[in-house]
Amino acid sequence: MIRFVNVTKRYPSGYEALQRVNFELEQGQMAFLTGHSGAGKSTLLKLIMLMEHATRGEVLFEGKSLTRLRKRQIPYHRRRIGVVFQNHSLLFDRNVFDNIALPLIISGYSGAEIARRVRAALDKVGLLNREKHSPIVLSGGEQQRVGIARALVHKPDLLLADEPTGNLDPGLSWEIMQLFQQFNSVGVTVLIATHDIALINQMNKRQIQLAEGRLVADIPAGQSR
Amino acid sequence: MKSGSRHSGPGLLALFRAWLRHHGQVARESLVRIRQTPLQSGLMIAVIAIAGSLPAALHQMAGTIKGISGDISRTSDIQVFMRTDVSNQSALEMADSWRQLALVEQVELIDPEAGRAQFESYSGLGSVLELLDENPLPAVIRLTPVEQIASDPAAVESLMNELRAASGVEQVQFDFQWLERLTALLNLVDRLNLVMGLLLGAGIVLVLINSIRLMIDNRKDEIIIVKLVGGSNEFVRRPLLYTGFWLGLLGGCSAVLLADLASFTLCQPVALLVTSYALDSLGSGLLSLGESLTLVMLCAALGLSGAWLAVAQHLDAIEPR
Repeated sequence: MIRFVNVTKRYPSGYEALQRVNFELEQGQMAFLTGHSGAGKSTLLKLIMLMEHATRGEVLFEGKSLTRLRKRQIPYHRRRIGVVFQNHSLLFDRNVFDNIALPLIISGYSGAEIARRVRAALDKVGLLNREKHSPIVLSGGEQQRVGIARALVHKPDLLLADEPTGNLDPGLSWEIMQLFQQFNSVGVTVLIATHDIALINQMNKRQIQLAEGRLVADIPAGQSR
Repeated sequence: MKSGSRHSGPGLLALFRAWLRHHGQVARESLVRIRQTPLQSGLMIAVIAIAGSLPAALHQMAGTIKGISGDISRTSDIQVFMRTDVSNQSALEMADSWRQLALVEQVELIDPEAGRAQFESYSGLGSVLELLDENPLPAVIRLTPVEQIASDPAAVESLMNELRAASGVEQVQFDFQWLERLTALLNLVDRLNLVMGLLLGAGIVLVLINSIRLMIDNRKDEIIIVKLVGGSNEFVRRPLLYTGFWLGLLGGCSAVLLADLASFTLCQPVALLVTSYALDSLGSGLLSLGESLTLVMLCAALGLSGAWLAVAQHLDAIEPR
C-alpha cells in the first residue's frame, strides 16, 4: 500500500526531518509510528498526504510514485485516505452531521446516500444521537470520534492518525484504539502516529520507530517489548 | 437518439448531477451567508450600488438632454434681419423668392409691426417701444430649413452664406451655435462618464478583492480542512465566487433603484425645461429594462471578477501544512 524508498525530507530552513527512511506498509496492515516529538512522525504522515514533498527518495502509494503526481490530482489522492488529527479539526460553524458529510459532498454523493453513510458512520462511533449537535458542545473524546467518523465515512483505503489520543485519558484512548482496530479488521490499512508507549504495548501491533528522522526499529506484530 | 448505442458511464452522469447539485447548494449557502452578515454585506452592496448608479444616472440625464436638444435643432429656424431701410414690399418679394430654394421648407415674413407686437407680448417691455417715435425693429424673414439639413452644420452654413449675399440683408442668424456647444458638452459628458464608469468599475473590483480576501482569511481553517479531506481548488473557490457574484448582483439591483431615484428627482426640473421649449417628447427618465439588466449584469460580472482575482491571489497560498 505504502512504500518509502530512501526518503529524505529537508525543510527550507535546512532542518532534516527524515533521513533515508525505508519501510513498507502492506494492504490491510495496522501499524504504529512511534518516537519522541520531533522524531519525524508528522512529517512522514504529511508526505503520504502530499502536504509535503520528499526532498530525495520516493514515496509510493499502491506502487505509484507520489512525486510524479500533478498538483491537480492531489485532491483525488487525498480522497482515498482518511485522516484523524490530534486537534480534531472540526468545523464549529456546522453541526456534527455536516462535519462528517464533508468528504462525501466533496466526492459528489447524492443527499440520500450522504445521509445513509453519515448515519452509518455515526452509529459505528456511537454518536448516532448527536448528529444535530454542534461539535462545540461535545466532550474531547466525542469530538475525536466525530473526527474518526469523518475520516472513515467515505470508506478510504488508508487511515492515517496523528496523535489521535493525545488529549484523552487512558480509558478513552483505549476506546479510540478499539475503534481503529475494528476498522482494520474490515480491511482498512491503518497507520497511527503516537508516543503513547503504554497504549502501543497493549495493542500488540507492528511498530515503526523513528528517532531524529531515522528509522531505528521496525518491530513486527506480537513482538512488542 | 438511439439509447445504448454509446456507452455513457452512469458514474459520469452522477458526477455531473453532483456538480450541478453542489452549484445550487453553494449558490444558496453563499446567499444565506450574505444575509447572516448584514452590516458587512450591506456596506459592500451600498458601495457597488453607488459606484454603479453614478454613471448610469449621468448617462440617463445626458441622454434626456440630448433628446431635447435634438428636438430643438430640428425645429430651429434661420432668422434673416433686413436693413431698416428695406420696404415691406421688397421684403415680401424677397421672402417669396426664397420660398423656391430647395433646402427651405417654410418662409415667414415678420414685418416691423408684427415684430413689435411679438416683442411686446414676449418681453413685457412694450412700453419702452412706445417711448420711441418710430418702430426701430427691422423686418425679419424666418426660414425653416428642411429637416435633413437642420442637423448638418455645413449645409446650414452654406445656406446662410447664400442668404447673406442677398441685397438688403443686415444679418443672418441661426441658433445652432449654442446647440453645437451643447452637443460638444454632452459628448464630453459621455466621454467623462465612460472614464468615470471605468474607474468606478475598477473600484468595485478592488473593493471586492479586499472583501473576498478577508473572507478567505476568516475561513482559513475551513479551507485547510476541506483541502485535507480532498476538496479541489474548484470546490474551495466556488462559494467565494458565488459570494462575489451575489454581492455584485445585489449591488447592481440597488444601483438601478438608485439611478431611477436620481432620475425621478431630476424629472421635474427637466420637465420644466422641456415645457419652456414647448416640446412634448420626454422619456420617463427611468432606465429601460434593457439598461437596467445591463447595469445589473455588469455589476454581477465585476463582482465575480473581483472574487476571481482575490481567489487567484490568495487561495493557492492556503495549503495544509
